[in-house]
Amino acid sequence: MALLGNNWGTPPAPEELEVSIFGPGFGECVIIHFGNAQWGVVDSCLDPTSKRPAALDYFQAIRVDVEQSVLCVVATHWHDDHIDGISSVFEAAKRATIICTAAVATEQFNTILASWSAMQSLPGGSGVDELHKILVELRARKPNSRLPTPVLASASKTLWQRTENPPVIVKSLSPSDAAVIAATARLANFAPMASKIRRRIPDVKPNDSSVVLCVTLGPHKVLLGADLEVRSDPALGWKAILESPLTAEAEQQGFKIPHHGSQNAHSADVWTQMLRRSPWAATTPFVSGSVKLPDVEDCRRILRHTPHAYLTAPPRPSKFRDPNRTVEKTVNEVARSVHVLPGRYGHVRMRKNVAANVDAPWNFELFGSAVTMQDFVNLSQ
Amino acid sequence: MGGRPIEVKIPRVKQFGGQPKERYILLKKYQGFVCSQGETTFTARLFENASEHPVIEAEFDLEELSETDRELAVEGAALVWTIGYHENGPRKRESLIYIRRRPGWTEEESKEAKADTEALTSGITWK
Repeated sequence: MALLGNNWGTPPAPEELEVSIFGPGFGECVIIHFGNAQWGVVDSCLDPTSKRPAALDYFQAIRVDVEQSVLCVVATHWHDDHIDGISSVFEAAKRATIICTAAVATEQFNTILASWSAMQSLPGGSGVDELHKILVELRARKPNSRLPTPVLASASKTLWQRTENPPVIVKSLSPSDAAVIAATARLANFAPMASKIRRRIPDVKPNDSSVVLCVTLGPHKVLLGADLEVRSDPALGWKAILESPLTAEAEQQGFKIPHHGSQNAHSADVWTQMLRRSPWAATTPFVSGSVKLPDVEDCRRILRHTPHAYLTAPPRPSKFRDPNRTVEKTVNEVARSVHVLPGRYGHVRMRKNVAANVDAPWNFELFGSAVTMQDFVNLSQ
Repeated sequence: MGGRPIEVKIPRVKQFGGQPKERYILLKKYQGFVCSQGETTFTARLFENASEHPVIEAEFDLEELSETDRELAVEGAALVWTIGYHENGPRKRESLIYIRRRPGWTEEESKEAKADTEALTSGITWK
């Protein structure tokens, strides 16, 4: 689907860096132009109209050869709202390195995968389904030894790099070792095969094993916060990252705000220790049940750190409609609340010439339902 | 008491084509799963035919479920919601939400699934 906006289908110049964030109220995808027509994709969501991965629709619009030009695909964690369609992106990106959280290479995760094989008749799929498809694709690629080896992300690990034009480093700042141990322990608790009834594999919470990325593009750096939360244990979450000596060197110009701007993922220390003054900051909304993120207070808190804050869409659910009046009436009478997934859909795009000074601002463009956080706050009053 | 006998007309029973048939007219059937459960409510994601109809997410009072189903409404449990008319003479609109009972794993299934996964993951080397 072509999002509204005159320049949406205009590709970046070879020397222009780009960070694009897509989000439809349930789902998130980040696309990065490393320069010189080479790209990376972090997480995936579906375009609500085309029902194709947002990344593939966008690459088609800006005429990117996905097979040749997308060189890394990162699955930060396997929650449904971050991974929908990622296996299709990886299947199309034949030269790409797939990067996953270290928690997927554990015996406990294999148990979850095994249980999935008997769960596919349940409606709705699962984030684990996408990882299963990625493993099937990796098996299919294995005979071709020239293809890149898949990579597990963990704290302070270089995941992918390019040496020139400009030099690019994609580094993971999480999960910490303690986070991987904690996540695998939680996976063991699910023990689906010991369950009385078969059920869909639940999301692992909290998101300690989520992969936070620091992307260095020549002299420019951006921080992609995935869904990592703040935990009281200093070995987990943002505290584990802040305690790392490497973090102090970081001077990030942009920030994909973690976990849809929620309070439990906010650390003032991240803003003061890891980010430059007034960076760009963007996040995607999350609407589920009575949860609507970010709320106005979340946005006000973010705006105290930077005026350059954006939302891919306001966290407002799309109204349920049905052509049968009786069905619509009954649904609205029986359910306390009901909305359509995904909700409003938008795209926040930041571009900057690689030769520009680190203090020079990024150019931002908003497409579809994307708004500035300030406008969202003003309209909500 | 004398006099003329009173003629009483017995009303004729009108003949119908038998008793009204009981029937159910299905208007909508959603299938889905429980996303989360609170103290008095639960949230479910519901699908009709995902390629043609949008997915919906709804929050319900737990009271909409039978007492036995309330215990089963844990995250990930499969759920069905039907909306329709029940006719047995008068027409009544019905909404029925229930948890799908699916049998637990057999030992054989468990072994087979683990073997499949080992076969899938054994050849993949992570860096």
